[in-house]
Amino acid sequence: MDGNMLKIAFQLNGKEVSIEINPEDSALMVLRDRFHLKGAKEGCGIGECGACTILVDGLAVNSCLMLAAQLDGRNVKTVEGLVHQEKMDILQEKFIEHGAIQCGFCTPGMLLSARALLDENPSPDHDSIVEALSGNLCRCTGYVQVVEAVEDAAAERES
Amino acid sequence: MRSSFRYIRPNSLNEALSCLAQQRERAAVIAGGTDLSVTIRKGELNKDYVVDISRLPEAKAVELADGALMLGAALTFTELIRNPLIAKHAPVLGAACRCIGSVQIRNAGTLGGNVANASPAADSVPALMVHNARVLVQSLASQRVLTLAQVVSGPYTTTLEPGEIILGFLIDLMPSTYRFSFQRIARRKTLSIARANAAVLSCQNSEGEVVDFRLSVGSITPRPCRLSEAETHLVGHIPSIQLIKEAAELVTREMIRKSGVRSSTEYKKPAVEGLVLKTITDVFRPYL
Repeated sequence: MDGNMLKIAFQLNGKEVSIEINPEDSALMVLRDRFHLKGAKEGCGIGECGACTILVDGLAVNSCLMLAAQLDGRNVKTVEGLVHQEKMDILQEKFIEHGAIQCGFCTPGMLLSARALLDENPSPDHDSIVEALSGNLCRCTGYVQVVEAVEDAAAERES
Repeated sequence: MRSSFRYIRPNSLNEALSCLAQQRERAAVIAGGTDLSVTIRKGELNKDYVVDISRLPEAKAVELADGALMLGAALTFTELIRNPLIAKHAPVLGAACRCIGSVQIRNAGTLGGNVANASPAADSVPALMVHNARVLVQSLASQRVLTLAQVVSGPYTTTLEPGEIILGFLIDLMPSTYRFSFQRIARRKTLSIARANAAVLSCQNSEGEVVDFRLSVGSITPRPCRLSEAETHLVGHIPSIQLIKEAAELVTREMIRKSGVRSSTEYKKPAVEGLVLKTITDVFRPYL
């Protein structure tokens, strides 16, 4: 835009990236519009729905409430980064298996919240799963299948 | 259209304070950004600079010194919840932080931001009030140590001067003999603004007599407050349901005195009485 542009560098889904941004850009805008990673969605834009959830240094945050400038130096993961060597994350497999997806708008955020939980606590109980997902709204599934999918993913990793 | 500004992330506290001293009211401070981002998105932030203090080591510190706990203002709610020193010495604050927003909000939002935003419904505030928190307000030229009621002067307004930041909080260490409770009323558990929130910290002697009783209720007055009439009502007595009910009535009387009779009072009076009753009862349950 003008001399206000800001250069940031961070790790995005395992790769070092750098980009010039406007200081007011949200992390979500930069991920979607500049890196063309369309997994994170803008639902409410004010941190109430969790559709824009990404992982920053392993923690789930709302990317709509974060300035892109604040990504500088961080380790960022989006839903696109869940796939390893063309193989889906166990959570993605289980979401499909359990019918935990209907329209899919909330799914990337749900997957990342669940991934952050499992990375920290590989065998969470039901309540921990519900709490970890409580910042992600879903208007289709009614959450039951989503929680079951996460429970199943955790059980599979244990066995 | 989003508000536009220049973004600065100073590398040291001194650099941050110098920058704020220079830009004064032209600068806003950002930490977690969970409140400020909403203002930016609406295009309502009229500042030339946004100064990011979220990575300053001084604002991320947790230290025990001289019988007090120092908490950096840029600690996130998640960092506070997970810190064993807070679980031990400031458990009401830990309980309050667990109620805030969602996992995502708690991973970004900060204690200093919660206070500086000055929402009457801020969940950390009643907890900080019963822990006798002092606010460390820092500028390039000076440091002030203020109470929360001195910092938060009304809904979404503070007495912070241009060039000043909240650097941290000093909290009295809670003796292990104290009991506590934090409760809130909201539309749902997660991601909801509290309609009212209450914190209690209390100590009884070996006879069961209340020797110290601290109560703060949020969202009922324009500034953070301790409910001194209700507090005194219990001190020196062995708690009973009757005494607790009377204390709850004293709370809503004080609410109406300070905030007036509003359109919400018809709901809020019984709701706040019920909340206070529940919170105090929770603390004294083994004695009732």
